Formats: sequence, C-alpha cells, structure tokens
Amino acid sequence: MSSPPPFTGYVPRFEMPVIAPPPANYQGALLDYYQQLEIDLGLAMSGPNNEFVDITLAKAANATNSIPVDATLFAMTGGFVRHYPNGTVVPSPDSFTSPPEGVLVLTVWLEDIATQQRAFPADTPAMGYIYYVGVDQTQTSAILRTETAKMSDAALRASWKDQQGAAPAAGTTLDDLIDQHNARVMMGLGAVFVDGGTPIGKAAQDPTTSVETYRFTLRMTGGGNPVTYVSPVPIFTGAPYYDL
Amino acid sequence: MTSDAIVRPDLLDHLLRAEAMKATVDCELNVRFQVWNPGTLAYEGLGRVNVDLVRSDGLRESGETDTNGKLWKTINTPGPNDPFVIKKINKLADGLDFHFEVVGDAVQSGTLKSKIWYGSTYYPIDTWSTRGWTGPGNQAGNFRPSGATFGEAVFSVGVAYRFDLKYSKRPAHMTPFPAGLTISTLVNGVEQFSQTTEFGKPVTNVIFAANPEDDIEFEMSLDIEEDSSIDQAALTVSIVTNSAQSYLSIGQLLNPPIDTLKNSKTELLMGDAALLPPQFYPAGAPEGSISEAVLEEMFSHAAPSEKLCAAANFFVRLAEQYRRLSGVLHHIAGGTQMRGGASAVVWQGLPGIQALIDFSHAGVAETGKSKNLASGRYESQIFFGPANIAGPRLTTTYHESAHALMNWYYFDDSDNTPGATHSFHSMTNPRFAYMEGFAEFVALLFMSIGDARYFDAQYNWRTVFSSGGPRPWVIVDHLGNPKEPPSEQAGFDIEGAFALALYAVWVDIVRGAVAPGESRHVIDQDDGGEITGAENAWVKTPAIKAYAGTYIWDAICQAVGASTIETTIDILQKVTEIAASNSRWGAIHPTFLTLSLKFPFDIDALDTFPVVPSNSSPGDFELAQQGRIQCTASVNKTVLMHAEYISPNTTASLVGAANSSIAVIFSAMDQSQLAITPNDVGTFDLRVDSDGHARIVKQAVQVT
Repeated sequence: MSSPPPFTGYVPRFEMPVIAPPPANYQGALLDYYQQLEIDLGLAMSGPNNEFVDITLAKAANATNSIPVDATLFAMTGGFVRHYPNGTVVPSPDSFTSPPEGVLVLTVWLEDIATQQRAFPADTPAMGYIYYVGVDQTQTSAILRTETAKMSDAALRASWKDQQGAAPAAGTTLDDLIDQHNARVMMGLGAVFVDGGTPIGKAAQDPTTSVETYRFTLRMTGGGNPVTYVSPVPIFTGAPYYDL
Repeated sequence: MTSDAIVRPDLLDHLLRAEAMKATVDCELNVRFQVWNPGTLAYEGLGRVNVDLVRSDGLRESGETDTNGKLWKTINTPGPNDPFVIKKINKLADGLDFHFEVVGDAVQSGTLKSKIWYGSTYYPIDTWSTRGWTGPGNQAGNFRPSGATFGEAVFSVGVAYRFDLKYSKRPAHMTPFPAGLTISTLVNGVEQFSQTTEFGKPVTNVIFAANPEDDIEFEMSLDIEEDSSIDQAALTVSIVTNSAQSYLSIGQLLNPPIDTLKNSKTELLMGDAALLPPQFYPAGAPEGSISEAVLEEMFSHAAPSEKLCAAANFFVRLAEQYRRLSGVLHHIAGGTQMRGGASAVVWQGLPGIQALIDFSHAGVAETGKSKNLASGRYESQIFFGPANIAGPRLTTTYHESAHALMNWYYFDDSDNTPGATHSFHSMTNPRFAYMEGFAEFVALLFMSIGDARYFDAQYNWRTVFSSGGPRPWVIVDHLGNPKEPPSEQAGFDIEGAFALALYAVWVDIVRGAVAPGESRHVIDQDDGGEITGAENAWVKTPAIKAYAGTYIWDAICQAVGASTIETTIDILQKVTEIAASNSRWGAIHPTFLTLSLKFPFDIDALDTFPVVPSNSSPGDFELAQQGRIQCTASVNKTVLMHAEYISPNTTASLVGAANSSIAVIFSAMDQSQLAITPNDVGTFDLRVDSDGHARIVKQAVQVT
C-alpha cells in the first residue's frame, strides 16, 4: 500500500460541505440535477454573531421520487481531518465542547488557504478551520477508514507506536494498523489528510423529527485572524466563481 | 485566474448556494423615544421613562438600564436646564415583534414648562404626535397633570434604513449602482419606491411603518436595464445597510477584515497597554507600538467610503502613541513649566484653538451600538441641543460626527458620560478626556485645517490666534468650577489637552509642514525640541506620511470641500440625518435605527419594462401602475415626455435616463427630457403609487 504524501503534486480544491455536485459525465441541466434530488434543504444562521450555519437535509414532503437523502459530508478543502467525540474540547475560538454526535474538524491545508486568498474576493475570508458539528459517528468512522487506509504504512506504524508506546509486534496486520489509527482519528488523537471534496463523514440524523432529517452545524474560522469565526455564507454564494 | 472565468458552473445551482442566497440574520433595532417639548419647541429625549418591550409571547423585557448598560443606554442631553434622559433599547428580542408599551414613570419636571400626557390608545404611525393634544382645561400643548401617572401607550413603529447598492458580475468586482435606479422595497406587502441619487451614493432613511406584531420583511427587487456587459446569471448585488460596518448582501454577510480589528477590542481604557489587538502587534515589538506593516494592513482594507473611519482609527492609535509621550500633554496641559510661569515651550496656540470651538451649541452624538460588538453594526444620529434647533452648527456637527465615527469604528463611549456638561478645560478622567478630546480635535481639524484652500479667514487658526493672543487658561471641572492647574501629566484628564496634542501631531507630522515662522508644536519631553526619540521614528517615515496623506488628508479635504454649509450634516457620510423622523413621525415616537436587519433577500428576476418600439411617434401611453417607455434612435434625438395624473392624490415621478447614467431626474409628475444618441437607450420611467394612476401623455421626439 502506498499513497503519495499530500505535499507532492497537491491540487487545491473546493467543494460544498454537503450534496455532491453532479458526476462528471452528467449530461443534463445542472439545475435539473439538483432539483431531482428533491431535498428539502434548510439553512439557518446561528451563533452569537450569525457566523454559524445550521444545515438540515430531508426529503421534500412532496417528493415524487425515492432518491434517498444523501447526508454525506465532504471536505470543503484539502487538509487534515479529526473527529472529536462527545465531551471533548474542540480546538476552536470558543473551545466548545463536542456534542454527543461529535465534531469533525478539517484543518485547511496551507496551499488551499493560499489559493483561497488568491481566488476569493477581498472581503471573503479564506477558511482556516472547518467544523462539522453533529455527525453520525458510526458512518463517519467507516467513511474515514477509507481515507485512513490510504495512508502509508510508515505513518500507520508511527501512529501505532504513538498509541501503544512500541512498534507493532509481529503478526500485527495492516487492518490492525488502519483500525487503530482510524480509532485515533475518531478520538481526536490522530488525523488523516484528505483532498477537497473527499467524503469525510455523514451528518447525524435528527432524532426529534419523524421525518428522516439530517442536521449539522457548519462553523469555520478564517480571515486574517485564524481564531475568529467567519460566516460561510459568502463562500456558499460565491463558490461558483472562486477560481480555485 | 482570469477575471471573468466561471470555474464551477456545477455549483451555480447548488442547493446550498440557493439556500444561502436567502440567508437571514436576526434583526436588531435601536429605539429612541422623543417628546415634543412645547417649552423649547423641540423634540427632546423623553426623560426617565421605563420602556418595556412586549414580545409576542407576552414576556417583557423591562425597563431599566442593566448594570452593563447594554440593553439600555442613557445619554444626558446637554444644557443645564434640560433634565431629559434618553433611554434607548439597544436590542430587541428575536422574533421581530415590535409591540411596545410605554409604561411611564413620572418625567422629572426640571425646567420643562410642561409635562407629558400619554393616552392609552393605540396610535398608528401617522397619529403618534401629541402636538395637538390638550391637557386639562384644554390647555394647549402636550401636558399631563402634575402628579398623574402615565397611562399606557402602545406604539407601532417605523424603521429607517439605508441601502448602499453595488453590483457585480463577480463578487470580487463590486461596482456602485448608477444614479436613477429605482429600488422597490416591499415591507409587509406594501411596496415603496426610492431611487439612487448620485452615482454610488446610498439611499438613506427609507422609513416605513410597521404595526405591532408585524413581521418586517424586506423584499427588494431591482430593475436593472438591459446591459450587455452584465451577465445576469452571474450577477451579485450587495446591499450595505449602512456604510459604516454593516454589510448585508443578498445571501451574503460580508465582514470586512477591518472588522476584525475593530471588534477585537471593545473599549479603550486609558492606561491599558493593550490598545491594539494582539494580532496587530508586530512580532517582537513593544506592546502598543504600531508598525508600518500594521498600518498598511489596516488601510489596505479600507474602502474609499471608509477612509475617514480609517483616519479615525489612525488617530486613535496616534493618540495612544502620544498619550505615552507624556511630555506633550504635560506641556500642553500646563505642567510644571506652565505652573512655573509660562514657559516658552508651552504651546501657546491653545487659546486661539479654543476660540474655534463653540460649546454653546453642543449636541449629542447618539451612537447606537449592537449589544454584541462583534456584529459591528452601528447607526448614529447627531442630536442637537435646543440651541442648535435653528440650525446645526458646523462645529457641533464635526464634533459629534467625530464621536459617531469614533464609536462606529473603535471606541465604545457609551458608558462614559460623567456629566451633562463638559468643556475644553474639563478635568474629568483619562478615558473621558480622550473621548472628548478626539472629537474636539476633529472639529479643530475641519474648522481650522491649515490650508487656505479649505477654510476661510474666520476660522483660520493662525488668524484667531494672532488676534486673540496667548492667554492663560483655567482648568475647570465638569461643572465649570475653576480648578487649580493640573499637576504634571494631568493632561490625561483634560480633553482639551488631548485635542491639542492630536492637533499638534497633525500639524507637525501628519500634515508635515509648518508655516514659515511657525514653530513646531510637538516638543520633546523637556528640551523644547521636536520629537527625535527613536520610539517615534515610525510617525516620521515617508510611508506613514504617505498613508496619512492618502487616507487622512485627502479624505478630510474632500469631505470639507464637499460640505461647506452649516446645515450639511452628512459630512462624514455616516451620520443619519438629524432627527430624520421629525418630519414623519409624531411628537412622541420611538425612532428605530437599524443595526442589522433580517433580510430574506431575493431577486426574482431582472426585469425590463415593456419596450415601446424605437423611434415611435408621439403618442399616449397609459400605464396603470408603473411603466417604462424605452426609446432608441438612429440619429441624435431629444425626447421629451410629460406625465399627468389620472387619479387624484397620486404621487408619481417621471425619470429619464440614458444608458443607465442619469440624465434628468424630475420631481413628481414633471416633465422629463433627455438626449439620446444612436447607441443610447433612453428610458422614461413612470412610477405611480399603489393607489393612483398616471400616464405618460405626450412624447415628443425631435431630431437634434
């Protein structure tokens, strides 16, 4: 197993955090593509300064097809991903505590930041840290394992040693190494690098509704001060024009 | 990156983007209650009244200023005989419910000749005035019998807001809207029209009524003429609700990076070494120092309209630097050398400068502020005292604008009003002196900029100085009682000292030129020479001076040049017109100043009006509500249009424009004429209010 380090030949990329764009071979009208998903997408500003965005996804009440709601979360940029489980303090401007559903934190890769600074309008902050608050941990773990499995053996062995205090013993399988590192990722003790657009998890299901609804909150830091929350709304609205 | 490339068309219709285009933020309002004072014939702050906000769920947000002064503000109006206190609600509850009750305690009588009587009736917005009410015995005026308690009055409210419109094919290239564009605002189903005036200038103070329990929504549609240079699919329109800090866009909430600077410090405490937020300290620099790079960072984010804010910021920081140079204030404020008998190193320009400031016309810069500073939205008014009713004084305007500017930009002065009166000599406290000193400095700057192009002889500082001559000054406390000259460094406590220190810095360093025969005003600690200390090298660097020239000097010159009459109070383009509500609202009314608004913005379509074939013959075009006649020409023509009312009591306007750049704007139902060339598209817009009908009755086309 081998995987090139993220630093070689890396291509910055931007994607929306949820709802994948049409596949490359899609031939129809783009609007039609999104409309045929028949997703009832909710977006509400929250946070002390309206800098957080609460996102809900549900099947539209009047849906005419049965395409399931895909609540897969995507890395908006490349970078390192960690998961902070329930009760852990998430490194963030307000050091908030992870809710029971857990938090995915994407540390935007430097090259992506530089690219954003070049490509975004002057008044749109480059993203620094992206927080997906409220994820389905089981499915997120499974999704992240796909990425963890791409890591180099050396990195996995190093992670094993960090965790166990000793190098892997004879008989330790590659799956053991992957599983352990993925567990560390899910505990916030380790990270896995992903490219922009990579599936990194799944939004948690909202237990308070009878309709299948997924909900998560997107936070991000950015701008000149990397420890300041910024609103992702300008990024959502301007995304098509960002020449990343 | 190519400037026009659309690199991700697959995201154009992304659901998240579409939803974000309709993103909303909470609404925060600022409220002021005023009352008609028949004694002074002026609207004045309604004094010492408990104001309860009644939410739709029946809960009240009560009445008295909290200990932090955030929910309520108290501002003492100037003037020894005016006991009124203006209490403002800074933030409404969520839910956008504007149901208010005024449950009053007794207004302290003070020297008011009359008191206030409230009814207990619901009054629509147009009948709020108590001007015509009578008290017991049919005594004219707005009275209530002595000792009586208030009834309960429920008010509907209005909201004043302003738009600063820009558009762009891409967010990175925002362009101001041209003049003459009509903005249609739908508030609770009632449509209003307003127009952009000068190129790029905001539409200000659009006021509308709202009733209790109304939800206020803004739906804005913009009619943009066909313009082949605009890719409508990629069009982004930015609406700036006020030009200071608040950027609300269609689907966007833009926070300029400069906000980071502003918001990172909620208040300035004199003696607080941490004036600047940490990230703006250059690495390894002494705390509080400002590097050239920092200034460059600051100014690089300043839009042209924000340059004056940047100037304020510059001076705030400049002052902080000089605050540390205690010698300057020491001398100016009458330190040991002054006490010892007028040393040559004392800046003797003080009395002359002082004469420029007419405190008899003081006012109050009423700067509302969001409870949460990080949201950074401000709106302000200058409230002039009774002495200014006849006409706001320019000095007052400058002074109070400076307060507003300061508050907007950096300095929270909301909790720092030690007394109703103060003066240039007032010995108060460092923070207050700093706050007032800055405002006085700005007034000085505007009134006495040492450049003959920008001030007349009356306000020539040197003229005044030479005629008045140096005089000893007397330190007074905030009540005007003489105090002994201050001890060393007491300039910290004297607003005039700060003003003069700033002015000295301006003349010597920022302006960078001293008139022949004029000594430098900024002197070093004790040797009487100019500042040479290495710690001050930064203010003398060419780069800093260049910044000052571009962002301070030019901006101020431009502002001064554009505003030469006393009644012009939008000098800084950031001050809402004085008592904008006076002409519309009644004698007792809450004035709502928007801090941030809940705008479910959306643009349905970029419509064009029906087009009449080009070169059409003169004829009648009847338009039931509104319409546009569009004409093109193969040769140069002059087109003349008239409009007339069909139904009475109709308000309408006819506007002619060519190629989006305004040609003529006529008042209601006047005629409009414009010249069009072969490549022009001339338009005549007829706009009629919702109840009326009008039509364009004549069109004359003349080859020119």
